[in-house]
Amino acid sequence: MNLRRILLYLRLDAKSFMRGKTGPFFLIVFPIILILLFGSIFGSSGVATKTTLVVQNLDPGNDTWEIVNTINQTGLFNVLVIGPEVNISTYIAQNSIDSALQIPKNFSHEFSNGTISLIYYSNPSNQISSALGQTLANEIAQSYNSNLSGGKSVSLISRPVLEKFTKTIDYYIPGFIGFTILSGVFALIYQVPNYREKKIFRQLSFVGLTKSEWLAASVIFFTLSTFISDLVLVGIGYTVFGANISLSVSSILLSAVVIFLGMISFLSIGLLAGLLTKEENSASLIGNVIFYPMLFLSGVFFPISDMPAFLQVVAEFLPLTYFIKALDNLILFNNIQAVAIPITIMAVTAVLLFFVASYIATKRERL
Amino acid sequence: MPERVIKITDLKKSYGKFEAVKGISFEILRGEIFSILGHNGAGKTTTLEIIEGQRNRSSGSVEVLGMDPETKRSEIFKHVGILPQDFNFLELINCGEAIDFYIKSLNAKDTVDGILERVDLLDKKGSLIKNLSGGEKHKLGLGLALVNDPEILFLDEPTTGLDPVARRSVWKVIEKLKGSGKTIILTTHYLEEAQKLADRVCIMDRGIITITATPDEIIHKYGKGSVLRLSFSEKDMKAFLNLGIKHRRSGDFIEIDILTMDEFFSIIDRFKEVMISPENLTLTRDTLEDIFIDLMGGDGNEP
Repeated sequence: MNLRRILLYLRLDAKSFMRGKTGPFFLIVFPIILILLFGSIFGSSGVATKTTLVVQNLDPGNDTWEIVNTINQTGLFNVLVIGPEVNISTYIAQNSIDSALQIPKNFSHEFSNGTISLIYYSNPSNQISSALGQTLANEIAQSYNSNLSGGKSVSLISRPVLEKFTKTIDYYIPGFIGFTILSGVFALIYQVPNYREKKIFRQLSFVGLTKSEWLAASVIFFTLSTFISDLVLVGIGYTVFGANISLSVSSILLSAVVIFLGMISFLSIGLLAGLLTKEENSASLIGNVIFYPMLFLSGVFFPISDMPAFLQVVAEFLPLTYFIKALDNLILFNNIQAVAIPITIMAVTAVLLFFVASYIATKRERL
Repeated sequence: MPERVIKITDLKKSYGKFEAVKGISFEILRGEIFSILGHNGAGKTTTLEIIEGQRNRSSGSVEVLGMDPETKRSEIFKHVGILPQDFNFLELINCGEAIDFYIKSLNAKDTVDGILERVDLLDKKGSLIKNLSGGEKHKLGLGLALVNDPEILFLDEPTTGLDPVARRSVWKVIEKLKGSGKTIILTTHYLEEAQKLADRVCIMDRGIITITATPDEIIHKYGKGSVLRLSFSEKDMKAFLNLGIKHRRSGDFIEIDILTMDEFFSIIDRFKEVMISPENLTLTRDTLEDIFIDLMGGDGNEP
């Protein structure tokens, strides 16, 4: 491989790429739109926004107002108290309320008789508010049941795995980086049949540029551009949405290595996939077949541990799985020791895929 | 005798059961323009790509500057320039950048402006390739092929798809290159192009070479000669008939078959002797295209 030729082509390719309209959009602008979108949804806490909980206390007793105060103090709800004269069903319908709690008129009296009940109204289509309200109602009921039986209750305090790690967006950042890196696969799946059809590979070979040099230039270009776009992405996550990111100089450098190794693997896959089709039009089909299963099975959006056993086995064979594992450890936990195995697996995969893709591409071109 | 730069012996190429090239042999000498003519699918491009080292042969031998292109491809690339059929390059870079990439990659001594000037494209230096016309694109391809100052130029259908003005503009550039002593191997659909530019022509048909000769030799050997077509006033017509020259009538015109130019001048001298003045005199000669159509069949434009 000739480094000078690789760098000369890299410069040419970068100019061509930046003058295009779709390439820079999908590589740089689209991930930013994505983080802004996801950040707006999941940025402030584990839930999107505080759920409004309408409370109607029909019991005049002090105990029941204590319940309302306690709910208010959890900070999980915007508690909105409505008077006993209001028809709660009508109020819910007219104001599109997802969650409402009604404390019955004779709650205190029945408490002493041992037959208490709370009425919780929820909108099943809003899973978060529905689940929160349901949990709250259960907790209140259990607490009263415990007191009623004279027993001691054990309360469970739920905390995230890291003290500061409380935002859903934190979990998504490595996934977004995986998403941006996969866009390189798509870029090559389109580019390879286009270049073959227009005989641009042949034209480039006249200056001695080999397929492996072309692939190497593409890897460098996409690594640099993805690294920059991912820095912007992480920066937005951190500054705009307050994402909790544990970065050090070592973890940033290792993240760059992970992106570089991932890029080699994914662009090699893109080159191989691009060789499967002669027309640019059918490239999107092949791209989708590779892109989406890899995206959903590698832990980008759903934890691998939640998948059925056979899919977990499949995930172990996907390079993106190790990419996400490595970035999880580096970005979220700053756990440098834990990335040794994923990086080793990625390095071996990258080398293998690079040579296989270069060899097949060279052989296919010269018949 | 000029040095031989390319030697092809019993070259064969098959794709599965289909034999595209069926054992052809020819030689190309330094400084000549050698044109390969033939129908679509005759095997022209396959032959050219094997000589360039772009494609492996099934059997036979190929020598380019004494080297086998299958094993010495990169060495041969230092001495040849290639303009492939339907030239394309990265569309969003400009002509100057494309030439600069070639110059730097090949460590060539030429300058961007120098190359663009040689192919009459200096005014398009900053134009993106996607904005070039067909003729300008072909000229740029020619410019890229010239970057390493090649000894041999391979031009695969350099004017296909161009309008007549653009075609002539590319011809001008090729003629200029011919003047600089380059060896040029030219495949073309256009017989007029081969007749105008080539020193020697080989005609391929379904994987074999049917003729290799100069355009004049082919016209002389396979053509029907020239036809002198003229008319006379009523008075001169009687004098002409008295001369007893073999002719035929075609409407108001007289047609006389001419085999040699000496024969033509002798007829003109006899007209002068008897003081008759022919009107509307034309001398038409068989073109390579006429002969090609006779030999191969077809309409001649798309052989």
